[in-house]
Amino acid sequence: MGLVSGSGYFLIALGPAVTIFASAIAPKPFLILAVIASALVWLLSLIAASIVWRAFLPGADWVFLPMVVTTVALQEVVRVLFWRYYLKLEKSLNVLATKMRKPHLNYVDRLEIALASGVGHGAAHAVFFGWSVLILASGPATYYTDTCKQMPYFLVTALNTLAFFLILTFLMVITFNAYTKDEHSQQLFVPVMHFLAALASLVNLLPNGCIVGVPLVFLCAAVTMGYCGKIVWDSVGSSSLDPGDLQRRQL
Amino acid sequence: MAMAAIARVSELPLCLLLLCLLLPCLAHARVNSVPELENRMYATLQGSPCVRWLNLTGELGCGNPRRTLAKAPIRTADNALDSPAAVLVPSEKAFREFVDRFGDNENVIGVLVGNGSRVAAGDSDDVQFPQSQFAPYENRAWIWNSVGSGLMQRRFNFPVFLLSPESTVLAQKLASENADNGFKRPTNAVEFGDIMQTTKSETYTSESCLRDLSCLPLGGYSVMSTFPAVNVSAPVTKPVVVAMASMDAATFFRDVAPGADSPMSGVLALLAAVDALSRIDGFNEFPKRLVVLVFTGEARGYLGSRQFLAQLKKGNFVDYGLTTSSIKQVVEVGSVGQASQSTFFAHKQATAASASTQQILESLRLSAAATSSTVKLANAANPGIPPSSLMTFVHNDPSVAGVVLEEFDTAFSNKFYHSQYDDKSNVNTTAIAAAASILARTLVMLASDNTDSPILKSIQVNTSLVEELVECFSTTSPGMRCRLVESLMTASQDSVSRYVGVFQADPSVLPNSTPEIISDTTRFVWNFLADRTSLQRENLPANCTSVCKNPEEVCVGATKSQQGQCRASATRYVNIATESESDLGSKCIRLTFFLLCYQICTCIFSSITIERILVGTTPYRGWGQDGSSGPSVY
Repeated sequence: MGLVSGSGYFLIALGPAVTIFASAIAPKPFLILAVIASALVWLLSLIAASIVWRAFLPGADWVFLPMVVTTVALQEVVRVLFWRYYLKLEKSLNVLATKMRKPHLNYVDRLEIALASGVGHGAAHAVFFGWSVLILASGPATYYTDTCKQMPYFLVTALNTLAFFLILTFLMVITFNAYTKDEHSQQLFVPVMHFLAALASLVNLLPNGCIVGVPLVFLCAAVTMGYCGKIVWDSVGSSSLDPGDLQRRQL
Repeated sequence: MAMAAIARVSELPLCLLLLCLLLPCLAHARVNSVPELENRMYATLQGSPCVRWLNLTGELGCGNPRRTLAKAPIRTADNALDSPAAVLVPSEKAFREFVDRFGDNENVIGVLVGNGSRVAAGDSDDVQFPQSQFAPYENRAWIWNSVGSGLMQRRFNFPVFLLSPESTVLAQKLASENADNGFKRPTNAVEFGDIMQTTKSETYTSESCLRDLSCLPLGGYSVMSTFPAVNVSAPVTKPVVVAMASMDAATFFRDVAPGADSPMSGVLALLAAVDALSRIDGFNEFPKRLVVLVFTGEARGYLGSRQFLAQLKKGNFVDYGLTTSSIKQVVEVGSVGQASQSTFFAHKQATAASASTQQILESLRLSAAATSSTVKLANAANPGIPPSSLMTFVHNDPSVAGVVLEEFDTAFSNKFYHSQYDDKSNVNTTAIAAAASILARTLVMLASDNTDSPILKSIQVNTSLVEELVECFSTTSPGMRCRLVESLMTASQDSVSRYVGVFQADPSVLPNSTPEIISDTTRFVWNFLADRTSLQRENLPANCTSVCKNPEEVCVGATKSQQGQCRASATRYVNIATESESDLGSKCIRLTFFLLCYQICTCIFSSITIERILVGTTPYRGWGQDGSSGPSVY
């Protein structure tokens, strides 16, 4: 029973991650590297935030609010730095491509790398917040918190992990598009959505909050995915699917 | 926050349950870390198990017939059993009532027995005539143990654990939470840690499980000592007076067998008597020699005494000056801790009518009179001797001059014979000291063949030693940690039980060099006897850690903090299993080396079987099992 529920929770949390990885990322080795590198960067950012906040925990419930706000703020700052570093990296890659007489990275490539970076971010988040807890789910027992008698704690964690994975993955895609096209509304959307999702997860702390909190986070995920889909469709999908056409889309 | 929990099973000596709580109960603080979460999910219940036993005819005790661990929600016994459950009963008495009603119900996945208070009227796990198949007389229906429930001899198909007091409280809380919740999921559930069955299926008797190497045979060491110390290189064959007692007990829960009155009070009286005798001179001049025997394995088929006699017949003790014909008189000390007004009873067989027997009875009577106690002859209406090691000697030779000294006349006065409640409150130091005085004087009278010897006046039993011994032996957890014990040895077990134990090592392994295979009680008795019966030498004794260079000397009193001394004493361990000549025996020995987690199964088989398989020589008549397997082979 323990193994069954443990695998179940894992699939709930990271099933889509595995699917995205297998279908979109695995065929291109460079994207795998991008996932790993991105995951590392984001893990470091989370670790840095947690080192600082460890001093204030365990503490009262309200401590979570500034903690979440500052951590998200830190991550958004890192995101901007991530973008800037990516530009430098792309320049070097393009120089290399010129030497090897291969085409430069185009817009679609950039989106794919964005997706990979997003997957890395989501994976880092999943590992950091979900893994250690879900490990316990593979034992014979389960756990219900006082504030959430409706769902096992592990289910809430798995669902949150899933939602945040989707949010973070596609926020990264929106980010890359926003900074490429220099669209301010999109640039603003990313941190705002991140904050909103993080704050929505705090609703779980309230009695019976999980009934509201988990759907809220999924709402954020749906909005993010919808917005991202619309953006990418507008940019890329409206043109014909002729690969040559896409290739010629210079940045 | 709410709580779901599972208990982890831990190793021996306390077999712990795995309590698996699939549900929450209200806790108050937030969980701050993953290990803390894990602690909230799982709780450990401390308990002692009832294990699976195997004998010639089949299984006894408790076991889990499934291949997986037994796991079920916990409930109390008063709720109706309409779904699989781990039932919590408040006490052993309640457990008996429960199994009488629900023992066959397939919804009983396991039982937790709470730490209830003792029933004043008495409570015994054994049958009303313990080990009646070894009685040397026809009347097997005599009731020696009036409160005997026979629980030990029953077979259950689910695990049963006796909980500690704290765990009982926790279990009750969890059961009431389940009840409040209406037994809907999620629930608090219990997972019983050990799969108590033989490691191979279809091995339902001791013979088959030993053959298939799926269980462990019982084993241990008895202790033999002698006054005066025997010179092993030049043994003297004087006629022998044997003083004996047994030091193991058995109850329904294997690890909770304090056995304070039955049989430890006898051992303590014997030790105190030996201590008194160690301070007098003159044993060398007596016409008879004194041999002290403390058997183990008696509660499980008289393994110790039967093995001793078998080895005696084979001539294993010739170097000890002991042959079958040299034993002239046998005095056994049974339960003496509850003697009211220092009145004891001497039991003998009707067939023991010789002058030697009369001498024993007369000596007992006179010794008692001299120490303001009383020894009466047991009621003539008794069918014979009570369950005791003397039964083995009577089977060996019906005319043996043997007497059992007990506190009771026609039936046990110990209301907690072979029960978890036979503890310190069940014995009286004065009674034990009185028995020791009587015994010491009687042994001198018998050895000197003189009821009026001047030495008798100088026999003085040390009452503070008796008190110390009672104190030492009655604390069981941690056990054997008092000053007296620590001066002679360092205890290795955390919790002391009078369970005989399992076969630990090849009989050719010298127990003196590997003390870790010997139980604490046995080791203490050996050290005490060796210390008291050793010869005084002129020069300083050499230091030692376990063995001495001089083969006539033994290493006495080696503890963790100090070395022992090499003393000339003829105290030795007597293995209750034998060197085997048969193939099966050697398989048995190999078995212990790569066996198979001891916790998984323990197997007992009546010594009739152990000898059939391991010795396999002379047929032995008269001790047939209940007809189901025919006369057993000795």
